[in-house]
Amino acid sequence: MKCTKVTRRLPALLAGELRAEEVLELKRHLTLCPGCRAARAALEADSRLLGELAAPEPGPWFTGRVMAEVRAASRRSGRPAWVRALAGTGLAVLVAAGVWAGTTFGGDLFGGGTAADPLAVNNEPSLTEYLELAAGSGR
Amino acid sequence: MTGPADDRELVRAAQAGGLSAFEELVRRHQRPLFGYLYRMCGNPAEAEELAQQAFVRAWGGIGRFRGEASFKTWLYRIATNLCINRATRRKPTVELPESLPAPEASEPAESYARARRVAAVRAALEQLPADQRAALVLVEYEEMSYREAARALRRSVRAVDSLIFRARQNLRRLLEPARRKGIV
Repeated sequence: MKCTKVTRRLPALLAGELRAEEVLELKRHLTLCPGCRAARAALEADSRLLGELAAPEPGPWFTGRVMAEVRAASRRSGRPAWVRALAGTGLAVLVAAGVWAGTTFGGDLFGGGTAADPLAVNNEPSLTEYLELAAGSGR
Repeated sequence: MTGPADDRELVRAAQAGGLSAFEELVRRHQRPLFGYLYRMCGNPAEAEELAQQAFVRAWGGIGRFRGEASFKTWLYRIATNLCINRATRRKPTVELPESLPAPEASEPAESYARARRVAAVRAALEQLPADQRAALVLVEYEEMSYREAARALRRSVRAVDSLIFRARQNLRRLLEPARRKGIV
């Protein structure tokens, strides 16, 4: 086995990821090759260095904070099915009532809107008028 | 007498809406997950925020968790995605060992030397590309097998093997200046 192949496999050897026969082959090479032994020793030294970087503990309120977020997320998305159904029905009823009122009373129901532009309210210019004004000011 | 529930039982209970089962999963996994994220991003406040987000996302997606991998691997996958997404948005803040303040007169020489070694390791880790760092931290610190790390990273085992090899090479190169100065 060539040294380049051995050094390529050394991290996997240290991690215990190689098959038994490959381990034997590498070990045989390592007994004969001081360069590859030095490479293995360097990797082991790096592992010891990595081991010095200890992680602190999460704060004492961590679990509580996570669970508060989880409960809030549950409340937002996990309402009972009958509530979701009722909410959906309510929205449909509102839309239907709006369409009926619009066709029955025309644009005056919402105070100054026109049939041409239902987004217009009160005395504000309609969307069409805004666009015309904007186009006019750009000229 | 029944022993403590394993993760699969807790996941099933959580999938049925059991908040206390999910809380038990949080308690079991918060410490290692926090450690993983701390070593990934080098900042305890950021690690805590990311760990919290990972658990909240896990709760949001637990209904879709099918158990092909372990809960731990699935959780680490969520956390890794969050961490890598954030890493691409910010520059690393590397604290070099040289920037450590001089030791206090009362501080033992060995503890100062150790603080410098740890700073050098943290700086080197933080300069690794995020995917190499993730693979190295999962295998070295979390003691995952290459197969588990591959699942957590959504990569092949061969890709993890390659990431670890390159991470090791880069780590050696990044630690070289500290080695020359006798810090590590």
